[in-house]
Amino acid sequence: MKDKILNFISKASKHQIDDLFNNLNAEGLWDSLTHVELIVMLEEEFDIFFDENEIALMRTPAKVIELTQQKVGYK
Amino acid sequence: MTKLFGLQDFIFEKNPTRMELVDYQSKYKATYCVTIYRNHAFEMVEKTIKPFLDFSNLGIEFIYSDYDDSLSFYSLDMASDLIVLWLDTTRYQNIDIKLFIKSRIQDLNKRYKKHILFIPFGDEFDIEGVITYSLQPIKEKLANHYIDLRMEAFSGTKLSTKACVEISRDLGLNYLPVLLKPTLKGIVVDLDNTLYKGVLGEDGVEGVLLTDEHKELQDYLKKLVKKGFFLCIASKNNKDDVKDLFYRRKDFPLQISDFNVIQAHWDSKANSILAITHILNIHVSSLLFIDDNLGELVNVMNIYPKIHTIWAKEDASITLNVLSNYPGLLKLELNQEDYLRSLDIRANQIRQEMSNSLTHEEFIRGLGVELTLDINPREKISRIAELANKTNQFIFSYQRYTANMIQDLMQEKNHLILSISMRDNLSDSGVIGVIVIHKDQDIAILDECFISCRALGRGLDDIIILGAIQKSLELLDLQKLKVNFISGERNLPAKKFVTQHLDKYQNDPNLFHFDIPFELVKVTIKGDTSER
Repeated sequence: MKDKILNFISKASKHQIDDLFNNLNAEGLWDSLTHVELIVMLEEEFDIFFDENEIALMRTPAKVIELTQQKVGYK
Repeated sequence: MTKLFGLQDFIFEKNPTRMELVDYQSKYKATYCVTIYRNHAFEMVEKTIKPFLDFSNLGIEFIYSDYDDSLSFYSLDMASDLIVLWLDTTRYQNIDIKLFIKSRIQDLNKRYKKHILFIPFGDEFDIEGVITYSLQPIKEKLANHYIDLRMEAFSGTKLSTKACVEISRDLGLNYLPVLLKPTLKGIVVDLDNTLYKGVLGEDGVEGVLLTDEHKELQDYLKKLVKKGFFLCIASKNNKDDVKDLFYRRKDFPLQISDFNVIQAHWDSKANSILAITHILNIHVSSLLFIDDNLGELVNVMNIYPKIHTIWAKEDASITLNVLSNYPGLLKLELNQEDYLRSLDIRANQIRQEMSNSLTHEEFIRGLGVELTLDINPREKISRIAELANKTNQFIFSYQRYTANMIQDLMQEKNHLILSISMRDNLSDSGVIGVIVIHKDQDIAILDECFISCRALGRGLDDIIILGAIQKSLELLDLQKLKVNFISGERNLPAKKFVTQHLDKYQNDPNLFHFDIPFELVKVTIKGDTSER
């Protein structure tokens, strides 16, 4: 699951998965438009829906993974 | 071979995801510049527009203004080929929004003379001087998914990503091509397994099947005929069988009279298309060829690389989807001229038969030609702009005037715009040409001349053009003429005419006089003939 989400972040942000893995808590790895692409991609893939606050929180790979897993039902 | 139609399949059959559209690598370099003047973000639209622009053979560089609610149009790039006014009108409060936007557009019109595409989000508008794009159909289609306020802080717009894809598709396939490039003029269709299911020569007239999808395709083609597009057949069948098919199959929406040219024989389709271009007097790049047979399509494309093509599919709803979004077929303004043009081309066939059996003078007299020259005709501005932008073969200097530019020229004291309308005993051709001329001391400078190709080739070319120039000089009270001419890729017919009749006026002004043969044609002048 984590790898799959990282793969989506990689596709949207054009960063290598290894880079993302080594910078899980880094902010600023993607711009605001890429953020929209990433959220849309995750929502379509997992059939989930993020609210405004969650979208604002998902600024690092770790947060994206955490909140997506929560939505899908993984803890 | 199917790679040739890979982009058609990608757009119309694959149902690509947003990310696939974003990741698409464009083949075209930017040759057009479009300014996005905005108060909310357009970037989400631009991100997915590349495949649609490629399908339209368009390379565009988008230039963005700052976010500007005041619509100051400060530091606007006037060299842009198009301005898109991308406005979120819900951002305005406590003002008369319609009055405000109307006055700002009037101001912009004074400074920018090319097309302006106004795309308002929030309100519906009907404002002169711009082409207004309504988001209402997309709003209705997407319903609850039309806006996405959760994302606004990141996307810069209230529009959802789904809405942005719909807009990029419609702009890329339909609106930007017709605002930036000449439109198409005719459609050439194959018959078997394109307009119906089955093979006429094998299944017979009653055996070929009109599926619901094929019926819708024929209905759409009929609508295009009513909008003024030429419709032709290029089919490997016996001509009598084809005529029999359309006479007997009353369930077919298309009737034999809907077709301008029928090329049904066993010769190559490339030859059929060549014949069609000769009869319609149009360039092959103005034609769209639809066929289900890839081999036929490829053969034609090899001989005529500039022809437009659709690969018709067994499921005719796919063919219809491609056709109804095919770049260059959108009519932004449908006018009476479109209808006249369609009738006129049919009359050309009778004219051809007459010219074969009569002397030239008898032929001209028999036609009973009447030319009407309208001086600065305001009511014809949209037709003049349309002709200025779609004429490719008989055009002197590619000025490509917009309606705003024409309106301004009509107000210039030393300028004269003369529209030429023609009718004869067979048809009313409407406005078939335009002369734009201005007075520079004692010289008349011919800035532009463009004539519709359907009006040429009747043996009247010199009378129409030289006659209009003569009348222009008389109206300006001048005798010396200088002609501006620019050689282009496709204006060889105009070049030949200029070389033959106007060569000595190209470099230096010279005395000009042409005796209009009033015994052959009737010429009427309309409008303000007072001294300029």
